[in-house]
Amino acid sequence: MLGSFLYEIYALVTPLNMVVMAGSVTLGIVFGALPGLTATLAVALLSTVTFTLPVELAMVALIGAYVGAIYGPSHASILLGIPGSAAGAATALDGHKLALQGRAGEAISLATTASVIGTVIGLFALIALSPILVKLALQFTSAEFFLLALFGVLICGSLTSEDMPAKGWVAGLLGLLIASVGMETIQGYARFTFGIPELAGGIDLVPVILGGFAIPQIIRVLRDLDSHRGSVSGVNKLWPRWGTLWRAKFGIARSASLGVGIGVIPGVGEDIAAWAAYDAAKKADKEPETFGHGNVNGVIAPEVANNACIGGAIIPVLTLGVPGSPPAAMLLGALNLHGIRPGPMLTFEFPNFIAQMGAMLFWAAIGIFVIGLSMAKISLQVLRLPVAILMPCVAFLAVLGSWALGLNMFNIYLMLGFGVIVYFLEEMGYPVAPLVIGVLLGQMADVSLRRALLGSNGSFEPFLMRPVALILLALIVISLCLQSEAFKRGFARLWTKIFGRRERQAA
Amino acid sequence: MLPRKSLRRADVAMSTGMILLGMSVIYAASGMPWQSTLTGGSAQWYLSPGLFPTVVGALLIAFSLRVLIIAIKEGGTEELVPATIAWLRGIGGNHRLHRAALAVGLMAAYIFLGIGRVPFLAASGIFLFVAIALFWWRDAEGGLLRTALITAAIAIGVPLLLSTLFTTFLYVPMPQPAG
Repeated sequence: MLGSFLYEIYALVTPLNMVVMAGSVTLGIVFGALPGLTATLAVALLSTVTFTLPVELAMVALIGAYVGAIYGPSHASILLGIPGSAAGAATALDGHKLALQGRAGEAISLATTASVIGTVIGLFALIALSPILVKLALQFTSAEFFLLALFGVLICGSLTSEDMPAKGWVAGLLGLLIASVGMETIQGYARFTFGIPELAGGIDLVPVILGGFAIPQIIRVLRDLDSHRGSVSGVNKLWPRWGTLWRAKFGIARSASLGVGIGVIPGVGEDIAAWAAYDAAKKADKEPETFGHGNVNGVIAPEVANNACIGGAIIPVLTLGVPGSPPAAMLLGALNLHGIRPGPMLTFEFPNFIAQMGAMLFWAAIGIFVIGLSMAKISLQVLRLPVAILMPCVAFLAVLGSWALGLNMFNIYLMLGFGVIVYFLEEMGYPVAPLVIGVLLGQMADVSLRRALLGSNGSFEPFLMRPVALILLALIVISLCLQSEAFKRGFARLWTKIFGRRERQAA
Repeated sequence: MLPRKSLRRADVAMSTGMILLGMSVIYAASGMPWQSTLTGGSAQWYLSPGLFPTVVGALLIAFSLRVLIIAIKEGGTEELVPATIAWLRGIGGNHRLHRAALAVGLMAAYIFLGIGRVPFLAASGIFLFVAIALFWWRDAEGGLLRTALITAAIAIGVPLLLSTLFTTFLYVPMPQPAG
């Protein structure tokens, strides 16, 4: 795999690929930096523009935009103190404080280098772990795929719900329900179409994603226009401080591991990775009280983690067909649009694909280093663009994107209707990520459930007797039970009963 | 997200709605074919198109019930009617709500009344001009003429540029007015 990866790094170097990579990284950085625009939106909108391009070129564009948009919020976080995304919020705590102390250039260069290191570690994790996961996934039967889809939706719900985990589960189930609309593939029966011919083919993914991520964001940003915005006046020396990075090497390794690990968990993504790494860095620091007041480790840790998360989030996309984060979900959708079905068979159908994706991540990392540092001074001007101008333009792009894929008005109506519903759901604490993951995994869950039961003549044995299925089932039960206070109290009592007694005996 | 107390009240209504949705999904799924001879067998319930929606519907009821119980425990049913009446009375002075409604209204007007009725470029240009004027002009720096000129340039330039890109390079025709 390493040999293929090194070859792909070289093979990708064509003028067209490099121009597209540079353009998409720039676009991604701008999208990530501007408050209100997100990485998911960048990948979603770009996938509507690139669907007629050859697969390799389209992926170069999408990976460039993805990496750029995950790094981009650091500019807004440091210069404005207003993060472009939730992941950037962790960087804002110390990054903006550094900028206000006249160290904006240093903070941006550290964030940029940390992002590059994170992306590179993430891509090595992708290359190292994917073959192992593919071997494991080849043992999967329909029962495991059903349980994997269910686990993905539920764990995503548990981890992305800010209010109560059950709301995340409900959102995921709504996604699965949306995916069951239309002609099902085993018997050709039209489900929940209500006589509307446009629903017979099922609900297209792109209007759902554009509606789910763009429309609520547009409404929220235009609603909260009164928010005060402050910025720094200048950017000092931008050359990275290697000594500072070397001193933070253990923190970088910890943050990258957290980023990759969180990335692999379905649907969780970069935001949680950044916060988890920030929290871990604060706990491990000799002077935790300096966090929030301009500690450089508070900039390095989240930036390493959220970019390492990209490689981690792509691992389950390519090996299992399960997205690790919302932008990765859009990447999965884009792969489907190009006729590539990710999963364990991908390495047989396209043997170099994983190495190629790794090479694209490598060039994107180089891209954010060069373009990110070059853009730092321009960012001050770009970030002054009023969001009240940007949001109507995003609405126009969302309409155009929804139209472009199916050339029918129904997709545009669907996008708006779905977006307004998601806005209300989010206002009530129902997260959008599990909903979209549910839409993506719904068909796999539906078909796998029935195939598994068909293989066993209606017996539930495959779900209970196969080792991997049993592990997945146990994970589902644990992830559900861990949210229950009664279960936690019972578990704590049992723990004390067993280990408390041992400790007493030892004493 | 809503403030905690209002959130719990909304949870009561929303989770009740979700439970009803789950029930209606199971009811609709029960009307789907549950007997199949597709693979030579006679009563293969596990091949039914209704199986998956039934599972999802049942889980939806179970999890929504959990949300409902938590919401009730945390006072979601307390002062439900007076709080709703107070919220309705306060709509007139709720500027955030006005702006959200305005944003949705503008997009709905653009999509339902503009596209497909008037040429796409004109509909998009009008939408962008009106939306930017309503949300930006109040805070814009510089004179009204300059602001209006910038708005007009964006309203004409953005749709023209992007629709040219889509039609010329991606071979995607723009929506045409019906008839």
